[in-house]
Amino acid sequence: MVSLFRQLVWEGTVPIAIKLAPTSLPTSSDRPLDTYFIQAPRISYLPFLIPEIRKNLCDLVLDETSAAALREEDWWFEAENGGVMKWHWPIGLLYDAHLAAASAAESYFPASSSTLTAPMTLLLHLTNPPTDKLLMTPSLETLKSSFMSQSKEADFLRWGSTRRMTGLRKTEQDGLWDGIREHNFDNFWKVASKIFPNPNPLSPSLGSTPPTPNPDGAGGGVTTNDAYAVRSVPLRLFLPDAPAIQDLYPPVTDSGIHITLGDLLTTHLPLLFPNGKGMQSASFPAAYAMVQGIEPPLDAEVGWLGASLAGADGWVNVCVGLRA
Amino acid sequence: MDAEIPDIPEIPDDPASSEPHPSGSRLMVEEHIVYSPTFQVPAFYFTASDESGAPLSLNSIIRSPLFHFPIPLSSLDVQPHKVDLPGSDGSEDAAPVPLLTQGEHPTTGQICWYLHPCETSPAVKELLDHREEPPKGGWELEWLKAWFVVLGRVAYLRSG
Repeated sequence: MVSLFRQLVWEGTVPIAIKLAPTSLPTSSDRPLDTYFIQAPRISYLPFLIPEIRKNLCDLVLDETSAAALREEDWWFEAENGGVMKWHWPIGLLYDAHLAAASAAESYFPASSSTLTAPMTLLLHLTNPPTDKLLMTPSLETLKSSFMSQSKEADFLRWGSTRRMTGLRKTEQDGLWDGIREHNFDNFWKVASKIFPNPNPLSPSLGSTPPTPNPDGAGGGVTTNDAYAVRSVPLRLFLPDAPAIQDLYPPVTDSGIHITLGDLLTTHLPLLFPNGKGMQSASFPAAYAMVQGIEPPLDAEVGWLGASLAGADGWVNVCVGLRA
Repeated sequence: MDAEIPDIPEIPDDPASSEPHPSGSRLMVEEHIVYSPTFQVPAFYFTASDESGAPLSLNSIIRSPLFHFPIPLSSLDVQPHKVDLPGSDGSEDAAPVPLLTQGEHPTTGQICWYLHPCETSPAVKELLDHREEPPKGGWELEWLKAWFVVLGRVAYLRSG
């Protein structure tokens, strides 16, 4: 069952529309309004889209001289209503965060036509990247570094050490990255299955004896991969226009109760999610939580989310939005 | 062996302090001490630019007076976007240990360099284990003082 969801996450895509920023168009161009549409994989990253965009948009819009002079390391993306797009965030997160922010704005100021089902429109700039807001040297090496850091942080949160990640041979670590780059599920999971936890079907549920959380070094030589034995599920909560909320999110209480998404949201965002549900009243919009583009039921267990709906870097990204 | 922890040096935890540079030009450095939610320890985040405001390369940064590593620079793996220590078993295939990396500041979202915090806890613990007397101000304060000593081993922390 877990591998079904991992496959669904892997194959998830989001619609993106790319336009060249007006400032990046040479004055000789007579095709300023061309838009290139991409159905981009959620677990991928913006720099991986560049070759395709170059071939299908830039090479058509620009004359030969301009096209040849392009420096891809200067390229950067901007959201249509402003805001620099982060290279190092997975595309699925960029999209869900964009959608949540748009829905929050719209719940207060309903537009005459909904923008919520439209593709995410991005403006592509070809020069002058804002180096304070982006990774300073946007390149595939930088991106890989960032991915590895995130994967190690996820590892550390789960087990209190990065032993599983650092115990991989360099060729295996590279294999994870290559799996993403080539969008190859089997190659990625061949290595990832050594790192990612599995929800143990024998994990006791409500009321019975709890499995003892077993952080590395806390006793015994047994290395567990039980998703319900982690110290904390690597998870971040995203509210529109706010820094990510990151805390320790254990999957099980001291008395052995499996914590649900609703429990977590009520604990950390009690005004938006009182009693484990999105608050709703006639005058106040209801909050919802989105993971990988879907709204998981609020009784979904956090341990299970960590094993099945995490991104390729191990993180469960929860985007909170509002709807009228 | 004397295990006394010295006074805490002054830290500018808000904007730019300028550092003297051998060639006579100035560096603008912005230093932050931020709690890392993942590693649950303080982490040292910073940005560094030259007088014109252009970001400094990592190569320039580690050779500037801001850092004084207790090991030769030649033993570090210095790349444009990160600095690693060699892997622990010394083999070619061993995973490297990160020392300096780029990342988002946890609150401002600004891209900064930071000293990787995963080795911090053991280093601080080692210092605290050598303390002979119980601390006057409580263990949290003592932990933080020891953290500054560990940081001071590699980074220039004095102001003025």
